[in-house]
Amino acid sequence: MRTARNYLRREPSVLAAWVVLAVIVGIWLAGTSNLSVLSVTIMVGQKVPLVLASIGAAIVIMSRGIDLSVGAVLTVVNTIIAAGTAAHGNSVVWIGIGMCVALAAGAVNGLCVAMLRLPPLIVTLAVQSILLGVALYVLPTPGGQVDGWLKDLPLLLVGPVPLMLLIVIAVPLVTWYPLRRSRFGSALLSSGADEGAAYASGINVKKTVVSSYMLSAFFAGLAGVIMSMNTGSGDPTIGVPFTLNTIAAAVVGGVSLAGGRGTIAGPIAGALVVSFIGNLLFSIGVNSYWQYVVTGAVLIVAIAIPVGLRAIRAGRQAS
Amino acid sequence: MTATPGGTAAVGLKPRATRADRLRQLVPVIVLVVMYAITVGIAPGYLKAPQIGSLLQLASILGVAAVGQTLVILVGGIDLSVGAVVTMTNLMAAAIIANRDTSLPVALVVVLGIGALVGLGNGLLIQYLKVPDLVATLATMTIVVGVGLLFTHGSPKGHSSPALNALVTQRFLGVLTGGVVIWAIVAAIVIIFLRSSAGGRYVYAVGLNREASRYAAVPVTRTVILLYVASGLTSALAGFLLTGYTGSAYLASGDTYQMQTIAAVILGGTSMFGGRGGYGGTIIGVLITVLLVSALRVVGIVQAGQDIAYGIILLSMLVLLTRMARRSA
Repeated sequence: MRTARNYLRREPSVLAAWVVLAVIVGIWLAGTSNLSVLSVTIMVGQKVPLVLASIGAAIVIMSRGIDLSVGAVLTVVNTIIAAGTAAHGNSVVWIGIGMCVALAAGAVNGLCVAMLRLPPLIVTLAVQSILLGVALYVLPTPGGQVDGWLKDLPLLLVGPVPLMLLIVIAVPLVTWYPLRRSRFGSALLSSGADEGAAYASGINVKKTVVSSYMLSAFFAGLAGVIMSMNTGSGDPTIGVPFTLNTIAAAVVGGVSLAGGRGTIAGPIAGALVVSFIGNLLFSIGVNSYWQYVVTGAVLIVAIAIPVGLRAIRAGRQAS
Repeated sequence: MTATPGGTAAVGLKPRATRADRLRQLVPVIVLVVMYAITVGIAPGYLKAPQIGSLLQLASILGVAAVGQTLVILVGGIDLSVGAVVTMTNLMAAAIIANRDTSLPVALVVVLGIGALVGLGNGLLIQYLKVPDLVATLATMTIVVGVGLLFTHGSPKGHSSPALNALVTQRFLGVLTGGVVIWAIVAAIVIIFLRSSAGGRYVYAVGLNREASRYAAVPVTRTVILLYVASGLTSALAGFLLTGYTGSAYLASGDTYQMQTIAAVILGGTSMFGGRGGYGGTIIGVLITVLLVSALRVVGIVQAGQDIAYGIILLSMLVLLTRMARRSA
C-alpha cells in the first residue's frame, strides 16, 4: 500500500493518465447502449497493438532516444506473416521470421545511435523508410492471409475474460517488470538521465541503449503479430499512424522526453487514452474528424499540467 | 523573419568557419554532383532542359517548405507540423481560389495567416509551456490534420486558378518557373538573414548554447517563437504553391514534406543539435532528395526500392557527415 502511494507520489502523471482513462471509458460506457461480450472483446483486441508498441517506444524514450520506426517494424512483421502464410502456409514460422527481422531492425537502430553516435530521430527515420520499402516488396498491395486459428485468437474468451485483455496485462508483467527490477532497469533510466554519470558508475551505456532499441522493436513486432491476428491479412501501410501515436501515448503517460524518467503503467494508460478518444467521440455522436483535434489537445494538456503544477509549487515555495 | 532587433550584444558572435564546417558544406555538394553524374549516365535525358525544369519545379516547393525546418533545426528544434500545414493550406487555398484568379490575393493572405498562427502556437507551447519541440509540433500537427478534415468533410473541393497554375508550372528560359523564382527570392532572404543580420547571429547563438545566449542578452524566447512562425509561414507558402502544381487539392497531399524537409536539412549538413549549418546546405539537400526520388522512378525502380534506397542514402550520408566533422574537429 505504501509502495503504491509512494509510486503515485513519484509519478503523478501516471495517476493522471489512469484517471483520464477512467473518465473517458466511463463516458464511453454511458454513451454506448448495445454492448455485448463480443463487441468488447473485439474492441480490446484492437487496442492491444498500440499498447504494446507504446511500451517499446516508451523504453527508448526513457534512454533519451526516440524511435520513429515503430510503425514500420509493425508493418514489416504484419506483411511478412500475411504474405508468407499466403504463399507457403504455417503462420508460426513466419511469425518467427518476422520477429527476427524486427529485432535486426532494432539492432541497426541501436548500433547507429550508440556506436556511431548518430541522432536517433534521423537514424530511425531512415530505418523506417527502409522497412516500409521492404514491406512493399513483401506485399505490394493489401492482402495475404494468416492461419485460421490465429484469426480466432482475438475472439477467444478465457472464462469470462477476453484473451487479449489478459495479454495486455500479462505481457508487461512478464517482460517489463523483471527487466525494471534487474540491473538493466536502473541502467536504462540512469543512462537516459545522465549518460556521463551512468558511464562513470560502471554502467555499459552502449549496451543499454542498443538493448532499448531492440526491446522497442520486439514490442513493435509483437504488436504486428497481434495486428495480423486482428485483421487476418496484411497491409503495407497499416503501421503509419502508430509512429506518432506511440510517442503521444508515452508522453500522455508521463514519460519524459528528456530521458531518465518514466514507467510502463503510464504509457499503457496513455495508449488506451489515445485510442479511446475515437470510440468516445463516436459514442457521443461527434464527427470523427474531431478526434485529431482532441488528441492534439490532450497531448498539450498532458504536458502542460505537470509544468503548471511545478510552477505553482515553485511559486508557493518562493512566497 | 523579422527577428532583427537592434541589439549589440551578439554582434561579435560571427561564427568562424572551421575546417569541419567547410567539410560539412562540401560533402553534400560532392554527393549531389556524383549522383547527378550517375543519373545522367543512366538516363541522358537529365541533361536536357525539360527534365531539369521538372526537377526544379518539384524542388521549389520542397525548398520553400524546408526554409522553416532549417531555421527551427538551427536552434536545436524540430517542426513535425510542416507536412500537415502544407496539406491544410493546400486544401484551403483550393477551396478559396475555386478557379478564380481574382481570389488569389485573399487565398494567399488567409493561408499565410493560418500558417503563421500554427507557427505561433508551436512557439508559445515550446517557450511558455515548456513543451518539448517534438511533442508540441506533434500535437499541433495532429490538430492541423483534424482541422483540414473538418474543413473539407473528407472530400476536398475547389481548384487552382489559371494564373497560379501558370506561375508554378509555366517554364521560361527553358528551366525556370515563377515558383522557382519565388524559391530563389525566399532563399536569398533567408541566407542574407542568417549570414549578416543580428537576428541571424541570434539564431546561431541560441542553437549553440541557449543558456549562454540568455546571459548574453540574446532574446531567446522571441527568437525561437519567431522562427516557428517563420516555419508556419513557409509551410503555408509551400502549400499555396503546391495548389498551383497539382491544380487542385487532395487529402494528405503535403504529408511527405514532414520527413522530406527534415531529411533535406540533414542531407545539407545542418546539425540536428543546432547551431551549425545553414540554408545553402538545405538547397543542396533538397536537390539531392528530389533528384534521388525522380531518378529512381525513371530507372524503373518501384516505390519499395525507392523507400529502401532513400533510407540507405540518408543513413550513409549521416555517417559520412558525422565522421568527417568529428575527425577534423
